[in-house]
Amino acid sequence: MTDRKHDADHEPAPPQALEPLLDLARSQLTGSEPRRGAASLATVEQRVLRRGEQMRRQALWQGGAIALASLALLTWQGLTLMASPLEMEVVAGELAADGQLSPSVTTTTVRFSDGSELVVQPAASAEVAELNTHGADIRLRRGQLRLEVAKRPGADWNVLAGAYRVHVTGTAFSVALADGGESLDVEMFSGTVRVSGPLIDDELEVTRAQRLRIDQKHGRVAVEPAGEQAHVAPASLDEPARDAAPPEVVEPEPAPPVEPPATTARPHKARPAESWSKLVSAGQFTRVLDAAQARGIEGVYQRGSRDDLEALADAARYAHRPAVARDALLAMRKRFAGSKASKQAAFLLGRLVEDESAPSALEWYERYLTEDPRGAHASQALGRRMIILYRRGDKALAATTAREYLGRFPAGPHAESARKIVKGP
Amino acid sequence: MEPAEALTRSTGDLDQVSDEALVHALLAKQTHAARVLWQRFSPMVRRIVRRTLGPVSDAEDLVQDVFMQLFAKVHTLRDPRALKAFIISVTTLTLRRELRRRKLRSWLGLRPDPLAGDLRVVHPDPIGRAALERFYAVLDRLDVRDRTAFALRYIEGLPMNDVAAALGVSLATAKRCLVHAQQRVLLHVERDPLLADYLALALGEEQRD
Repeated sequence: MTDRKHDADHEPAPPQALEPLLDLARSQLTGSEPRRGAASLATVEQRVLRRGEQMRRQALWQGGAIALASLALLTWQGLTLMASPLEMEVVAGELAADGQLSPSVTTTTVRFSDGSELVVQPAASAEVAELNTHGADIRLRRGQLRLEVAKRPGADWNVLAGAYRVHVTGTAFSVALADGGESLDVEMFSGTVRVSGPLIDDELEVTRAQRLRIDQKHGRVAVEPAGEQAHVAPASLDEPARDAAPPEVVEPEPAPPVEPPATTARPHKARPAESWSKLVSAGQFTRVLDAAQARGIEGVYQRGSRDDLEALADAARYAHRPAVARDALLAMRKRFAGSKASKQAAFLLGRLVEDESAPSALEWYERYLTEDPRGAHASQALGRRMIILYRRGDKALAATTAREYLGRFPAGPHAESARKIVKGP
Repeated sequence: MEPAEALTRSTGDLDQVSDEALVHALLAKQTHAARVLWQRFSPMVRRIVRRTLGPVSDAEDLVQDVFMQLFAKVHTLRDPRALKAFIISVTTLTLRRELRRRKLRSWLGLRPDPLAGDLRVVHPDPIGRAALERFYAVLDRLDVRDRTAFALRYIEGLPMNDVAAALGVSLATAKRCLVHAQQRVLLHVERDPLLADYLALALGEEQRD
């Protein structure tokens, strides 16, 4: 209280220690008009006029809107019959130009206009094959996705996973497809889905807190309480899975498997202990780098698989080891020229060298845009190219690139910058 | 009171017309009144905007916003002699709204104007330019009201009473804002290696002189 009174009574002494900075601000930030783009009274007057016009129009519209709203209310039921197809928006992660949802490290989240949400896990590959007024068909090629379908009358959603179709009307669940489409895993969080496919007669209903596991290769279908580990009960074509584990069974306690767990019944293919791409997905970048070191990093560059090279480059980028990332990407370019990963490497090389050498970055971005003009990173590559050109003073070329950018990606992350560049200073 | 008609007679009279007459001319929607207001006060508005926000690329947009507000609100001015204080108050309100908008964008994780760093040309010396940018980055960390008080008092050099009026607070509150802002700025500047070096160098040179 005393301090507050003291503060109120005395004006604080000017901060002498800051005087050079205050001087700097005073001398540089003056009231003089900028050489270009200065505000003008004419512009203000135009804006005032426009605002007046807008207000007049608004008043007219408001009157009309009230009348229309009443009409709209009456015809709403009818209009729902002619509703437009759902719209989707990628709210996190990336959507490739070809419509693929194939996140490499982080999840990709898609939100639909009816409130439904799709989350595609890293290393998975999926696409929204069709959007209609009542839902969508989502094709899962590999990996795992989670779908939460908003409950509404007539909702009709399908996940097409390998040879199976998971039909949904309003629920939350995850679908995982592995082993080249041979293994399907549906885990329910709420609601009910109906699954159809080669090992299922007609349709199989899977409900809340249940998990459906299908091993196409060995003809096994099992429904078990969700949250259990792999207890895949074999089922033959003659013995439908619903008999092995009735859908109604939703008790939290573990249900004993009808047959020994698949872990013992099913022969497993020998696999490497740690997949590098899985380690990258789990954020274990150092472990990937250590493993590469242990294997002989030069050997990985020269003989490693494409997946390993890709994972090594990712791990090195995230762990701030640019030299390793660069060598891995260059090896990818050399050994797997023409592949999608090789094209992507051109973009990543551009990002890697941008801070050190803008001309080199420019060259990599141009190469990427030539090799994969509609690739997942095309927007970024074109945008970054534009920024580099602008920064180095090549205004004309920057403006041309900006126009191209706006033509191709009018709502892209660099659209605002592009507009400013086109507009000029 | 000077006749507002003076404004319409000749542009040579523009500088001689008092603020009070200018307000009456604006209210009477006389020709040239808006132009006189613009010519007389736009440099001050631009300077306050720049000094409060720092080297940003959208200062001119804000100058326009301030004048739009002025034209819309001039009829609410009770004492026409206080035109300058009224303009500073409108400018401050616009700036505080802009600062709050930026803070909100920052909290929401939205990136600031992506070209702000590329297009600005402020100081020819890279060290001075960097110091200025870092200094305003320090100001970005202040509460909107504290920051505005700091800029108006210490950079723009307004008297304390005018600062309080512009912020719409009591003199005591304005002083407390200033004390708080000053303490935080000093703390952050000391912790910033570039700013600390810049100050040490500048103060060392001053002592040598």
